[in-house]
Parts: sequence; C-alpha cells; structure tokens
Amino acid sequence: MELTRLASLLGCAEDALEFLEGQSHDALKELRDKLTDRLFDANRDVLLGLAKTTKIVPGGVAAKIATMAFPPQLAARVAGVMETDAAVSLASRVPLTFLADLAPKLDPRRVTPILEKLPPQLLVDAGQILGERGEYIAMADFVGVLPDAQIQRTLGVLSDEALVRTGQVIEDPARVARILEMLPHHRLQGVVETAAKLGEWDAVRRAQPHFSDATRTALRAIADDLGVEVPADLR
Amino acid sequence: MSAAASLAHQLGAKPPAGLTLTEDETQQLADLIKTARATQGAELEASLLKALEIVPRPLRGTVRKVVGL
Repeated sequence: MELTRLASLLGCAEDALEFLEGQSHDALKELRDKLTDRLFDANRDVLLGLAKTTKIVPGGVAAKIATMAFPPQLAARVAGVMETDAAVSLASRVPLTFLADLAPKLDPRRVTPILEKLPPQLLVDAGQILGERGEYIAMADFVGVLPDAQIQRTLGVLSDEALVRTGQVIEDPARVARILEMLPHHRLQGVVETAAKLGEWDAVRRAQPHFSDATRTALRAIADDLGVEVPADLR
Repeated sequence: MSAAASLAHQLGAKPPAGLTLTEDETQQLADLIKTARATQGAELEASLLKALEIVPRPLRGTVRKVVGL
C-alpha cells in the first residue's frame, strides 16, 4: 500500500520501487510524508500566485485554466494553497471528472477545510466516480479526514466491493469499525459476502478490537445466515 | 556527494532513520526523487505558459506579475 502511494507521488511505476519492499511500514510512511512535503512545497510562491490568479480572472476563466492548463498533480498542489472559499467556488465550476482526476493526487491534510465546505452532494458524486474507478487508496485517505455524516452519505453510492477494498487500505482500524457500524443490515450482509468471496478479511480483522458488541454479534449472525466461511480468528 | 547526502538533498530533510538501504538503493531513491522534482518543475512551467494563453489579454500583465513571470 505504501509503495503504491509512493509510486503515485513520484510518478513512476510501482515496479521501480521494488528495492523498497521489506522496509518497515513506519519508515515508508515517514518517507512518504517527507516526500509529500518536499513535492507539495516546491515553488510555493508560484503556487500561491496561481491560487491568487483564480481571484483576478472571472470564475469561468479560472475553471478553464484549471481544467485546460493544470495536470491533476499540479491542480492538487494549487488546491493545497488556495483560500477555502475560492477553492470551493472553483470546485463547483469544474467538471466532476476533473475533481475525480485530481482527488488521488491531493494531500488530504492540506485540503481538509476545503473538503469540509464543499457541497455534500459534490463529494458524494466524486466519491461515486472514485469508487467506480477503483481509486481505493484515495478514498481511504479521505475517510481519514471527512466527518462521519459525509461518509455515511457516500456509502450509499459505493459498491460492496468498493467498501471491502477501501477498508483494506484505510490506515486507522477504528475508522473501519465505525464505517461498518454505519452500514444498514443489508449492506453489512453484502460486505460480509464480498469479503468472503474475495478472501479479503484484513480490514475486518484489524477493526475487530474496535467493534461494539452489537456489531460483533451482527457480523457473526450474518456469516452464519449466509453460510460463508469466516477465518477462525474472527469467530 | 555520498548516496546518503544525495538522498537528504533531494528529500530536503533527513531520510527516515528506519530506512535500511544499500548505497546503490539509496542512490536509486535519490535519483527517483530528482526525476520527480524535475518533471514537476517542467510541468509547472508548461502549465504557467498554457494558463497565460487562456487569461484574457487585458489581465495577462497582472497575472504575469502575480505568478512571478
């Protein structure tokens, strides 16, 4: 997971980072954080100038500049230095697919105030596209910074497979548990069935210590009802 | 410059202490970061020029000034 994130940052194939396999998760995470800061903070004055430009030119022109002149990685860096209101206004003017293109390149830590002020439906729609594109790491990163209410709104447009695969890469297991608790019974059934079909139980395993008794019981009952095979340590 | 110094230079910070790489691997990582930074710089320059073409003519001078061109 860390190598995928690093490859995305470096703009290289994951194979090119084969030599980092076997490094500890903490070391790779620290490397990614330092690299993110290095790349996002480069040419900061120019980025700030670009962010200011969106206030000098009419809104439609700013949207045209963003979509026609900024590749996703650069757009993500500019978003990181934009004033919240200007960024929200611009986000509402660009095509949804553009937002979905830049979302995986964002550093969520830098855009949390913007995410909090974006129209909720815009986030749902962007989340749906990310789910359909299989951008599970990007979705997992957003789960770390979005409030529960927004996550709940988005769950309805994500497939069971998207939920299972995103859960696998969410860093904080308590968030995985929280999301499973938000799911209505029929979605929880779908998630258990999909996890069994894919053999992907790691997210549930990591989240287990954070489950409420009710969730633990519900998961066990669902597995029994469906007759799916659950790893022994999750019983 | 040693591989370790090259990596620190490219990263702009002390590399993570927990990273255990050979000299060659350290240089490989430093080179990848160097390439990413160069690509990013070139991308920025190209985007600035493209953006200026879209900005309405009367505002180009102001925008040039703001982005430091």
